Amino acid sequence: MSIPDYWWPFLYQYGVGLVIFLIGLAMILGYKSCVLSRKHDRFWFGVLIFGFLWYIGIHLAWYLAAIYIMPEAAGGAG
Amino acid sequence: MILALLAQATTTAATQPDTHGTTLDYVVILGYLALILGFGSFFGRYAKSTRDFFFSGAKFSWWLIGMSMVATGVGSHSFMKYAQKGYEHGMSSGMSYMNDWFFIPFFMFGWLPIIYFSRVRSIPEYFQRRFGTTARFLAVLVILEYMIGYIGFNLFTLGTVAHQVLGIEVWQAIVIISLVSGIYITAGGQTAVIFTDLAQGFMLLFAGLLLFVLGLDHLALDGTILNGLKTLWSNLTLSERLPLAHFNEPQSFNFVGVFWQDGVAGSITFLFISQGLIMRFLAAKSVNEGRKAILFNTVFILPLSMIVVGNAGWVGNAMVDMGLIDAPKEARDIFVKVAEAVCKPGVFGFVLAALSAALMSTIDTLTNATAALFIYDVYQPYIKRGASDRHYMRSARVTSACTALIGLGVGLFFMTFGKDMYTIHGMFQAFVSPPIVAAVFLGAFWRRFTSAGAIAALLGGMLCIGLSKVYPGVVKPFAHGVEPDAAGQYNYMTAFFGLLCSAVIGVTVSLLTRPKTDSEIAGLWIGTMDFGMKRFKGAEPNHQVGRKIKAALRASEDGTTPATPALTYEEYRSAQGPPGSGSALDRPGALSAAAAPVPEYPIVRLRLEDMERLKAREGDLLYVADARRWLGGLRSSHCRAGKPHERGNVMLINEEAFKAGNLLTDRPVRIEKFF
Repeated sequence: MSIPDYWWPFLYQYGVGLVIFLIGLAMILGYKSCVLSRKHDRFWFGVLIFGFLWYIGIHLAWYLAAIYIMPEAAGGAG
Repeated sequence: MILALLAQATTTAATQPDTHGTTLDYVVILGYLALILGFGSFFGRYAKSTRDFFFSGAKFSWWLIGMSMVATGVGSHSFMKYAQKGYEHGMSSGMSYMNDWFFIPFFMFGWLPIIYFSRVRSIPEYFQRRFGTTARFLAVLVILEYMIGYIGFNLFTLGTVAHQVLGIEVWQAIVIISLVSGIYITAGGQTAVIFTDLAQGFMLLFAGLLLFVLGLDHLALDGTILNGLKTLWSNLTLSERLPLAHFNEPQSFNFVGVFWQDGVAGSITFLFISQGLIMRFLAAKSVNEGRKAILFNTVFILPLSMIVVGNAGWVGNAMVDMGLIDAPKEARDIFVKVAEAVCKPGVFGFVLAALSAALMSTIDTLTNATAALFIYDVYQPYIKRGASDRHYMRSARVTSACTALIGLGVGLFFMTFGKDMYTIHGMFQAFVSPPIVAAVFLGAFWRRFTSAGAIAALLGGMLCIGLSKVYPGVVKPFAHGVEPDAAGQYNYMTAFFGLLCSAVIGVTVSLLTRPKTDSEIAGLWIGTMDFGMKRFKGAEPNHQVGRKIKAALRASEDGTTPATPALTYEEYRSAQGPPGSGSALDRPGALSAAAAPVPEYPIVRLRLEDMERLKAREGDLLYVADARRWLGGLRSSHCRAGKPHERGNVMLINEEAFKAGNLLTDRPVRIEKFF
């Protein structure tokens, strides 16, 4: 079963985006700009992860709504 | 010169457009402009030094910084542009507002602490310290041209909008907006910019959402907003309901092009080389507040802004389908068409005032940033060295006024010579932005990046982009299947191509040339943040997290600390343990321009129990602010903790620090420890 075309932008954004994001995390941890033994830094590291999940969550929910929520008299698939 | 342009502009104002709006709408717009002028000028009293004028004394709370970022990021053209995209392509119109998070780790824990702790005041100053004078010179040329051109471009855009919407001449709108914003920026500097942008940010968000609600109300079959939303949704096809556009078509608006142009090149440009944005973060009371501001902006405000700027297009699409309005002759007119259809007299004026707010809040930031760049990167180092701060403060005001006038002149110039001028300006930006972005990014995140590499990246990158304009086929391998436009150009992907070329050239030249010593670049790249923090404080950081406390103020005889000598990298390394432990930081070298003196902080003294609650030690940096949080730090000061006292629940502070912080004797203060 092939993936419908409209999913490719989502997969591309969060695939390439994840690579960039992970490189960023690796750099800030590797260079000790973010030190997880410090309470403040731990909090902000959690915020970084949350932000990524927040956006992937919004886009995923929006995709599912666009595909599955169709009020009466809805337009056809584009 | 400006008068000549004005005369030419008035004579070339050719067509007489349709006029819209009622007298009440005009009253609302003019009333709004008068209000902003008064509100902004009021903050002139808080600008006592160049540090106040350009960085507001580095004391503001995250919500002030965050809200003012909204106003700066959303220009008047955003409403027109994204409404047009929304009308043509549906809800993916705002996808560029929701792809910024991937670079936030680099910003929060890399670039933000680098610029804050190293106390750089401009991007060219960073170039000077990291790469040397030649790189700084190139950066000044490029960034000054960009900002002045961008002011003119924004003014021209608003003038065009005002012409379409209200029927007034383009030059009239340019002159009015330039004068209003020029006056309050010259009076109040960055503080005026931040506070007016706070008001204008709320204004434009509210107006955009109001337009959405009124639009949904217009679409509702049973008079409820929810029904309007259902009608809107059901009028869209599947591709129009999706938040991301088709992967690589059409050529004029596709996902992959927007991702690389905006999500990657645009995000780095916005976060790393926008002088106006950098100055906002330097106006924050701490790095932590800067992180909160970017979090608030990216997680909450950007998705909201996406709705605010695009909804007129979505609603317009449904209204045209339902026959409620005629299809506009050109898609770019949809915003005005919808606003006119759904707004009553007065409300229409309010929405148009929000457009002016969006413009002024962009222009004021650019004007203040341009003045800072001129003072710090041209006037201080090359024209008048070693003058008093009072002199530089006067020069800053004169420069702000001149920048506003130059912006006005450029706006009129663009108008007189038509669309071609800003097309040329846009092309120039496509040439220079990717190389400068690559140089800053590599400089901040790669220790081995050299001065020669930076200069090669700047010049070589521009050359490659120039070649790609002549031979667009070189961009094709990176185009992800996107077709070129009618002129054979790959518009979106040129930015990505330019970034890649600049980075490859910069890396190659760096590997072939000798890097600066570690001590020369200490505090200027991500691997030396601990040193940067220590030098910023002038002592060992205290990372224990304490609580905030409240106390009354009492004047004391305790004075101000003498200027702390800048910590040298060698001193820092010797305090870290013996060299040769395998760290990349172990290489020897001499102290250089990377060092900046630690400013004098006034000493304040607290009770021992308060110090314990703060988890503060003698010598730690404290932030003392009027306890009324809604002031956002307008009355506040950075201080250093002195010896604890035993005189009750008061904070002892000297007269000078008290005045500098605009604190009030009858108001308690809130105190927090930084590190």
